[in-house]
Amino acid sequence: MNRELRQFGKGMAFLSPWLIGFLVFTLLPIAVSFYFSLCKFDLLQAPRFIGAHNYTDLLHDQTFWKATWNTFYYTAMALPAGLLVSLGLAMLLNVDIPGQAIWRTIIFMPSLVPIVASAMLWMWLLNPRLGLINVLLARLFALLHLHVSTPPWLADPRWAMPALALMSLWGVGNAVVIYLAGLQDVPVELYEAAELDGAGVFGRIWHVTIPMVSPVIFFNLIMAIIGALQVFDVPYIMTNGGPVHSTYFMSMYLYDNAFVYLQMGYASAIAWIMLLIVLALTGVAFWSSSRWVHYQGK
Amino acid sequence: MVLMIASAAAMLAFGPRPELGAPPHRVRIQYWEKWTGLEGQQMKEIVDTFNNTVGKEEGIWVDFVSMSQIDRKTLISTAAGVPPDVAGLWDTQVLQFASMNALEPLDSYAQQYGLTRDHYKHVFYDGCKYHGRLYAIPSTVWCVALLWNKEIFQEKAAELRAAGLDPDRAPRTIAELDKYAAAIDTWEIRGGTRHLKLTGYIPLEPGTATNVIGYWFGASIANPSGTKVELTSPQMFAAYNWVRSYSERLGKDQLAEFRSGFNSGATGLFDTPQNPFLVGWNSMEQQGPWMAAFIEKLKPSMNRWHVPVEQLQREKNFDSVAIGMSEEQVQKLLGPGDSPSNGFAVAPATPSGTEMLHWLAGIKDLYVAFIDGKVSAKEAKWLPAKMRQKYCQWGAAAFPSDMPGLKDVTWAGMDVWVIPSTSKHKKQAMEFIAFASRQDQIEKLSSEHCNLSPLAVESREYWDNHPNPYVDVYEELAASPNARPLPRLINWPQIYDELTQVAERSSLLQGTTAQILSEAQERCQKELNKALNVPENTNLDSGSEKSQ
Amino acid sequence: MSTLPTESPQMLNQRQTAIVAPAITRRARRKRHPHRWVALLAIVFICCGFILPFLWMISTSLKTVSQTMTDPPQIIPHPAVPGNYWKVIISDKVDFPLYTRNTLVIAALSVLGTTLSSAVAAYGFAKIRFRGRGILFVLMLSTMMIPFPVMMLPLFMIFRFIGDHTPLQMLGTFRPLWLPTWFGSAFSIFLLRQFFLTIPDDLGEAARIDGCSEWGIFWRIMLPLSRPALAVVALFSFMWAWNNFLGPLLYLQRPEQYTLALGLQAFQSQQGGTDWNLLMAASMLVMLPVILLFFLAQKTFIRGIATTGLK
Repeated sequence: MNRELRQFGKGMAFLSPWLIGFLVFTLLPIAVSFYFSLCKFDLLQAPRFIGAHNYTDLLHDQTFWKATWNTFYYTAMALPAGLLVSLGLAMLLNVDIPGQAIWRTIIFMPSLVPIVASAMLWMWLLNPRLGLINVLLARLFALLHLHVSTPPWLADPRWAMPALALMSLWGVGNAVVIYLAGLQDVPVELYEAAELDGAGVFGRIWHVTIPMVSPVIFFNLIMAIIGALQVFDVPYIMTNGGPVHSTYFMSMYLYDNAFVYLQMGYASAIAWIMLLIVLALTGVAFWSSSRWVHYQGK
Repeated sequence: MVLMIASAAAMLAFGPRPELGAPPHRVRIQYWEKWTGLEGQQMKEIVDTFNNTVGKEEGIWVDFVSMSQIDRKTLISTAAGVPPDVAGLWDTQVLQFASMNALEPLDSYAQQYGLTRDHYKHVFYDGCKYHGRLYAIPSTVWCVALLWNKEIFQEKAAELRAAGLDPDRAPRTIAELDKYAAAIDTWEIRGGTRHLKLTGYIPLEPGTATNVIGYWFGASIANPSGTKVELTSPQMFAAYNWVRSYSERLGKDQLAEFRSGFNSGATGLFDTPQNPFLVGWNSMEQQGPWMAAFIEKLKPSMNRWHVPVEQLQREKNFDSVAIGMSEEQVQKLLGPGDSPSNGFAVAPATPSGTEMLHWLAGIKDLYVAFIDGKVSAKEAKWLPAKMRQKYCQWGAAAFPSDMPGLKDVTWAGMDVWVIPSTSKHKKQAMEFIAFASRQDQIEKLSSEHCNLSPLAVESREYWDNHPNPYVDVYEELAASPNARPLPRLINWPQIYDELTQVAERSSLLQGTTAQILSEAQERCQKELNKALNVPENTNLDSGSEKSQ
Repeated sequence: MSTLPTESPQMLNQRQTAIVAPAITRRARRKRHPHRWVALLAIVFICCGFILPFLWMISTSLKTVSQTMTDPPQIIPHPAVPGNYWKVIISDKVDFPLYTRNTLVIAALSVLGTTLSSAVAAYGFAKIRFRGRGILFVLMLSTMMIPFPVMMLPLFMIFRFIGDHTPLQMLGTFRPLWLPTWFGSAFSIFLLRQFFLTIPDDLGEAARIDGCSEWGIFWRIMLPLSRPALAVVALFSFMWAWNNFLGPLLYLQRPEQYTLALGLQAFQSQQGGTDWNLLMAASMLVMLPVILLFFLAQKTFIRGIATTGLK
């Protein structure tokens, strides 16, 4: 009992800076936003309590469902692709090759480009007529004697979402850096042992690297879930949800409600639904993590 | 080490920093504006003038913050009880903010400063009213006209004539507009498939005025009191059928692909390098007066069509004229000059005892002043707007509307100044707005923005020096009885987004026009009722809506 | 500058590690491998794809306004206008040196605050077992999941409240931008916790038996062993502070306080036409320090465990 109390005190001592900040700068605002979600609140007049009205309205709101579906669709495309690409890139960048610093910097650079600039760059790349992607694709098709026309990307409701998912791969630099840091913790003799057992490159990756960096994969998975479900600024500039709401995400609907339609209460309700969805997905990830995440420390 | 960094950082953060503050004993008011770049710069000058003149006398100091996305700052700060004293808003927000009691009614203030209805072009003044009270003062204003590319019309002269059309003027009816468009549309074969190369006209291009497209057909979008959305009227039906007809004629996918090549994104980035009107991919567009500024900046050759080569060269060489050059050197660069008295513009004022030379360079008058045979000053001045028109590769005309009673129909939009109702310095705020609304100030501001003046009467200088050569066309349109402000809806931003969906669906042929419009009508009316706090299933006035 | 590191410092590091932490296994970068040329080829190919947009960015930044308008677009501008960069630096719309200073102040304070406070909290979450830890951890994670737009107003109101009721003025100062970072960020705490968990507990136990306090274990053993992760956290918090647009927009009131992210806005224009060449040049200039920082810092990610620590 005494020991438990001491442990608790110790834990609290370490957590205290965060706890204070959490209470003031996070819990309080979150609690306030929950209260707003139960109000009719247009930002410019005092909130008026209306109970769960916003939530029941959401259930009947087609635009909200469309946005939810789009968000999941995007997540289903961008999340696995992002995880695979970033892990693969990190492993490549961890191999001792000439110019390593340069390659690492190049992969990381896109996450630094200001949003307006990167939106412009990609509109240019995805331009169906002049864009580099379609110019290269057309060459490739011609080379293979394929008679397929190049995709119209952002112009077409069917292609706009894949285009955005493709674009998201450009920004994997952050995840790569985190993986790189994680890869430093893999003990060399594990590889040596695996090599002695006759494992090839992929065997070693599968049996050594992935289990050993699984805590980092887990971290990136959670961050990717949060990131994908909250994707906002680049599509907001590039497509603004169009054509015909094919790239309209929950976060955009939330934003529009909050700052364009001035329905902060409704926006807060959307935020809380988003929170529940992310929580549920993270919950699943945590629940599954005991099967595939290996903490060396334990 | 950590401590060292920490203390260094702390020094930086808390140490002395330049304080560019107000002089003492002045009431400090906050003015937040959304203009960035040049426009922000221009407003800053007006603020500085105010601070040094009227502000000094009246004991007021204006802190000017201008940035894009400032509307979010304004909203959050107002909600938290620390609003600015003057805010620059869009016309789309006036009714929305006013209906939420967030704006101070300005009627008595405006009266006091002589800012009456007749002082302004009526459409703008009326656009600032909500429930009979004035909630905003127009700052810079605009309306849209049909721009057409004369050069493309010339190149396509044979096709146009074959269709019985005159290549030397803009279309005058919508039917004629469609014919012009069809005659100009050009296709190319790329990668074995047919692609659009040049279009005559696309109803949804650019995005600027797409959601008031019903106006061209006489639709009103909402009733005058703003309690009813009217999307299912025959006029709206005609408008969106018209949008459809272009997709049907050109092919919806081809049209969509072609349009996305303009890189305009979705949030009104029509100043991109691929602007179709400037690049020459689209020959007619409805645009506001600001387009002239884009043209001058991005494609100046369109403002210097058929200007003799030596005059173009002269305009370019004028940049190299430097203070202290001899008259001979200048003449070598610009050729022999004449004396300014035979110029039509008024020469810039110079100290006496100087000699002055003048050159004509296409759309500009060039003046150089010499003291003792050395250059002491130089200035390039626009030719009066009307005289620049003949050098324009583009023309501006009223949107073709052939319906009875719809002559010179246009959408009139504006930026406005408002005073938040929780501001603590309303009197001082109004003093500043009144100063910025003086004819000289507001004309300077408007022409720098390449927008129109909201005032009923314009000065001679304004007409002559306006950067838009077609300022006369625009001013006439803005003064027309058929100039219309935005629909009087308190949730217009929301309805606007719904109308974007209507436009996109019509353009992609998703459903019939009747279907698209009636679906949108139902949603919009529901949203409006919610905004107006009308209980569900209640009838507003008569029994035209279903009430069971 | 190619970074083919010599073997010796690394060996040294490993030896030092072995002395300080006998229980820990030898960790190091993988040996040079014959497959590395395949890897090089692959990475060069991928990097070509990643760098393409930048080439266009650089190309645009070297054009005149009218050159940005040609059809078909020029890839290599002729003539190139490197003067755009100078024009941006001396532009009277944006006080580049002042804004850089402001941004640096905020970024430095944020980096320090985030790294220190997050490491402390992460240690608590990773290495001290106590009742309620699980719930607190879930709470912390969920704070990342609430979309920021709905937090903006409450947060703003809190800062206003603090400013009104304490001597610490908040609105109109840098404080709202860096103060919260001194209370840890959920992202960094989570990241560091994941790393701390990969470090064996035996290490701490051994030190504890030697009479080391909990804080001592954290400061002398954990921190030095997690340098790569700390570097990542520092880098990210720097980046975040550097690029943060919304915070400065909401909390700063006067032009002389502006940051670079706010300054960039001045190159966009509502009605005058954006100077894309200048905007791209300005964006490049704003990115450059961070790129440089990363280029230098990325070594931290390869060095593996170093024992010098942060003392």
